[in-house]
Amino acid sequence: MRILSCLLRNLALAMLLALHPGAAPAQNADDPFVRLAADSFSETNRAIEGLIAQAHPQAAVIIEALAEGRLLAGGGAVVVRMPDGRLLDARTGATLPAAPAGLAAVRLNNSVRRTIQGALGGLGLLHPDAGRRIAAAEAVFKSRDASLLPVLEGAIAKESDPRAKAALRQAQAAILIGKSDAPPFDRIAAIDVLRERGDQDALATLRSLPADASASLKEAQARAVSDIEGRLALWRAGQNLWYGLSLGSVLLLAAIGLAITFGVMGVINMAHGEMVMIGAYTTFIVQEVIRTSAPGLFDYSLLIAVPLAFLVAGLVGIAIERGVIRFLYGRPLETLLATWGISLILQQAVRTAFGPTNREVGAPAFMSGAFEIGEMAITWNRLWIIVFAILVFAALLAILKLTPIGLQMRAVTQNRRMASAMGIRTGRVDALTFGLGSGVAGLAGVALSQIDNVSPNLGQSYIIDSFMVVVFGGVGNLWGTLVAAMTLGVANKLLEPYAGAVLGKIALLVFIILFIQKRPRGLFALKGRAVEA
Amino acid sequence: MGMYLMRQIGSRGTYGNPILPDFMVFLNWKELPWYWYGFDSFPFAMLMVLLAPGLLAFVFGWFAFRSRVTGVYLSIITQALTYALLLAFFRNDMGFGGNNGLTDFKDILGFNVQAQATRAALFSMTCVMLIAGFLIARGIVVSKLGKVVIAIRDAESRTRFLGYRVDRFKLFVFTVSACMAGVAGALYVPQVGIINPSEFAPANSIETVIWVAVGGRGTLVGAALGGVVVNYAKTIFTSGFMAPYWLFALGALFVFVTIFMPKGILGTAQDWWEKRRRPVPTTTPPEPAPAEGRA
Amino acid sequence: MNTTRRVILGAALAGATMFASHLPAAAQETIKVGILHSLSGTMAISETTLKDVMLMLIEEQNKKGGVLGKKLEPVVVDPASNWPLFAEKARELITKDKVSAVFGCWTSVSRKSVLPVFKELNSILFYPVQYEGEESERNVFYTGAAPNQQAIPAVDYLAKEEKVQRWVLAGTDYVYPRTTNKILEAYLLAKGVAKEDIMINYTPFGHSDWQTIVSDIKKFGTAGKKTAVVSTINGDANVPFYKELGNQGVKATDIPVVAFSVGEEELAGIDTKPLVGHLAAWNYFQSVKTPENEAFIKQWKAFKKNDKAVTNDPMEAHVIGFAMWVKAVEKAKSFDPDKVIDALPGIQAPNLTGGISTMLPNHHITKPVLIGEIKADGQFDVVSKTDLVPGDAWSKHLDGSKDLIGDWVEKKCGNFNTKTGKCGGA
Repeated sequence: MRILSCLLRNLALAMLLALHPGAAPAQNADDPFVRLAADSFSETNRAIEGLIAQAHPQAAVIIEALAEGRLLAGGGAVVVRMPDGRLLDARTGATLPAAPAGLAAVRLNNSVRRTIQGALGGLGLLHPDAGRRIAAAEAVFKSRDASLLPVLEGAIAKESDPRAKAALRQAQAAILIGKSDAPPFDRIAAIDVLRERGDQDALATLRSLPADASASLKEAQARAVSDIEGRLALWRAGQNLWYGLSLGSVLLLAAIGLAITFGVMGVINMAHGEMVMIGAYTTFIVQEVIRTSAPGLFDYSLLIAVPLAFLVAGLVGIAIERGVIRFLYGRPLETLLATWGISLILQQAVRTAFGPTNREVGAPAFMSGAFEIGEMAITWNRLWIIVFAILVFAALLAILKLTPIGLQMRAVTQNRRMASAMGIRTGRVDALTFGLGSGVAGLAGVALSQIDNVSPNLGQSYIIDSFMVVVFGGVGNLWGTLVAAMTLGVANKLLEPYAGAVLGKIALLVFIILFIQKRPRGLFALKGRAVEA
Repeated sequence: MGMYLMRQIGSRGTYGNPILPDFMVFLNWKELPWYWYGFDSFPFAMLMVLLAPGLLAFVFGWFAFRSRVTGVYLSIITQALTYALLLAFFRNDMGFGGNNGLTDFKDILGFNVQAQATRAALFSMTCVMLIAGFLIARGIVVSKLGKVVIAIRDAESRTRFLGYRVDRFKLFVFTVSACMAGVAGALYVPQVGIINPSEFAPANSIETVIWVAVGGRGTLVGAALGGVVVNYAKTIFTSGFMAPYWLFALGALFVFVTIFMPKGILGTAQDWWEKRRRPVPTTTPPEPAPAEGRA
Repeated sequence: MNTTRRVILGAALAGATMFASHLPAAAQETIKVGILHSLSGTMAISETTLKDVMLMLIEEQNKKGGVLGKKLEPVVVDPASNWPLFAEKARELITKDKVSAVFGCWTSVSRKSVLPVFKELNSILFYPVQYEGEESERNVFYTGAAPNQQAIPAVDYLAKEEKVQRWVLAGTDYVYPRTTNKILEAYLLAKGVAKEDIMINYTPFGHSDWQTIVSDIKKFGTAGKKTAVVSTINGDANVPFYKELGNQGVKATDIPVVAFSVGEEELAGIDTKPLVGHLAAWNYFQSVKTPENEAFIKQWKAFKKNDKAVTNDPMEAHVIGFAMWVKAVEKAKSFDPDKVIDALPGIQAPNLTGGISTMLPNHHITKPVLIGEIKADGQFDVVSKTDLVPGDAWSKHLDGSKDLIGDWVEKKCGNFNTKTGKCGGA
């Protein structure tokens, strides 16, 4: 961060120079362009500093190109490739007719990237765009370099955008905290500014108050720290709850298909995880096709994959039901054996077709990144998965409760012979029910492809959890599955910070075992008079 | 291969209740740590081989059967238990070697495990134990107690209504089979040379059930036969040109057996034999599994 | 004993043997080489390519006329990610197929599982994966990295180049991460890092929900000191981990993550754009520009008939190991394991990064350590490369092992204690 401050000072200098045109010509002794062509990270770093120091007219263009890997060097030439494909001579900015031979992109490492960040930030402090100014202020906030104070004060005086002004003030406060010779009054005010900011970074900054500070200052700092800590603890609890809900939604998605095949039909479907896997691979294929034939549609790839995954997994499910499971009704344990065999076959089939390694499923723009509510970071993909899980749940409930086929499904599972006598084609209903359960598992695969491996082993990692959720919630009860998934998700995430991921999971499993002893039929048992259900 | 037979009998001790074996397999692996931890007294270690799994099964079964946890719920919570134990044993600080497990066993009672003689002795021990286990199981089955167990298998609630304490019978069988599984594990490990928590994996318990199903449910010999057939198939399939495709073959075997030979190899052979001898088929024994989960 | 079992089984199930694929060796001239890598189950994801690379190397060697005038014949078996099956298959390879050497295993547990078999039947195993060290066996040759050839140079790089002062050691809960982290912790403490500046975190296998841990890392990173994550997270769990890092916006310029188990293969399953700048430490990267490497990549792509096929570190380890075995056989003029084992230490073979690796008396090899930064195209940009580092069988940073050395040339011992001058541990 020392580099940054150096940059900013030079920048101030550069502005000064700009005010007096022709005052000092650029020095060419340490030519930054020679350094850029040297293919050494430290030389590249110094080249950037040199460009700033010289206030080179092309500095912004060059540094931006460097950041994006568009700066090429080789054979003594340094060339910028513009986003539109034009080639510019970096030194003069003139368009080149043809690329010189032997060009290669100037390489970056983290330290060069940081220098670039600083340089762009420094340039940004005076950038007309308010967003850039805020980013620059943020960089100063983290560097806490006292030498930048005058520059900052000047910028604050000129600043008109309230958000940028606040950011600049915070940066100023961060510097003042560590500056022992600043007026005590200013420093106390700085503590207040930081307290208002109130996040993790502010806390770190407050803690950096030098040990030789006056008693009153220390007292103010201690109060601010405990204030922020109290606030953050609350937020953290909220964050954990959010994590829990998000884990719960994943569990719900994975388990809800099983709640139908296992819960409603009584088939111990060990191939359920493989249905999830099929859904994920469908997503992969959809994305591949889009990538090769219609890259513009990439952001819609998941929307396209959703119905396809449902169909593909559903059809595989129907095929399994017609081919194998219909011979095994009433013998749940044998469905376990047969579906286990099927799951082995499906896994190996996928392994043979797609190879054993993970496949890349990209995230569309609307599912990338995170946003913040207060001190809670919420990632978009998790948010969408929660929404998706709720939609799937609602849709499933609606199908079972509101449609004729749902009615028939419930009728057949409750009393097969009676239903058959009423003219329901039970075989068809069985196939459709199993297809529905499998299709929903396929939907889960679409969602899971966003957060987990897309590999032949994908299904295996969710099958146990899915069974736990269904059994905990009560077999044959969709609402039970919902409550169970959310309970287990939240409990897991609340335990994790204290017990660690491994022990937390063990504790939950033990809890489920004990719970089943207490309530052998799960949270929401189906009530009935059957002795042997 | 002998140990597989052992394992079979262990899990078949539950005779006819096809759900219970899920739970048994993991118990096999409890005992080696006792050697490791300076339980250098051999008889004591042997005792623990029986007691540790037996006790665990007793406690677990006591709770489960008392509250009448049955059917799928029982199999799922046994899976939960094995999964929890798997995770626990994977933790390195448990002291059981974590994921690497325990390996490189040097000697038992002063005999080198790698010596041919010791191996032969272990193998014959396994055979002896197999026969012993078979006889014990047979003894239980033909006794009055065994009749009740068979009655429970066929109609649990009716047996309960007749005044039998169903949970106690089940608990007894459960615990006995756990002890047998423990012996199986003790014999298995020195011969294979490694014991690792991944043996707890639910997949392994399911495989054991599948051996039983392949061999023929409801009979003791069938269980042993199934163990041999499946494992031999595995040995063949995993070598040579079949290697990349062996899971297809194994998976197909499971599907084939469950659909076309619901009674397993032994049961199917028996039926076929009976039909040949007597053109008019006699009443076949009832299906072992009651119609669970289809109410 | 094993044969007894087989005879019994064979008699009982004579019919089944028709499926057996072990055709009798066509001619006496072929020499068999065993390939013991999982082709199914959880480890297939990593091990399948190693089987292919061995097939390619053997094919290539046969084109050159084989070894000692004899053609090589690969014997592929599938231990199915099942540890006891590894031992069974190893026994089968050695006793039934009479292989001269075996190339195989990935996880430490599989190596531990086959170890007694190799010792008993006195055969040779080439083990190509980086591992936790603390082992040196007569029958095993470790062509992957020991901790001092991967973990410690990576930490040194971060401390020097990135000025890291605060460390998160995150790993999957099993032996390799535990041992590596123990070594790293001892090393960092010895270098003067304060105890509270080290955070150690373990997760179960296949952990897929990283939200809490990533946010903990972020929190740990806001203490005002430069923070880095040293990841020994195992295979499958990496993808969700990196996806979460990307989504929560942990940038390499703020908190770099250096991984020891993430290579080109693993990155092929992730969108690497948010991960640019995170690091990995290996002894080989596909992006290394040397004539040997370019030839190898070309050969591999042709063999796989896939222009996108990637190469990785354990593959290079097999390349080196195989070349060393061939040279040792030629030096010993025999395929006899004892003679080959004695011939191997001192054998040199070129690695693919432009150096010559040597087999050491402790059965580890010398390798350069490369640090790479992830690029947007799923490859690595090499930002640092050391000279050849000799592999330590026993870590110098752990109390129990710092006096131990493995030396199969002079001392004929895998755990010779230099303090007491005796063979047999601390």
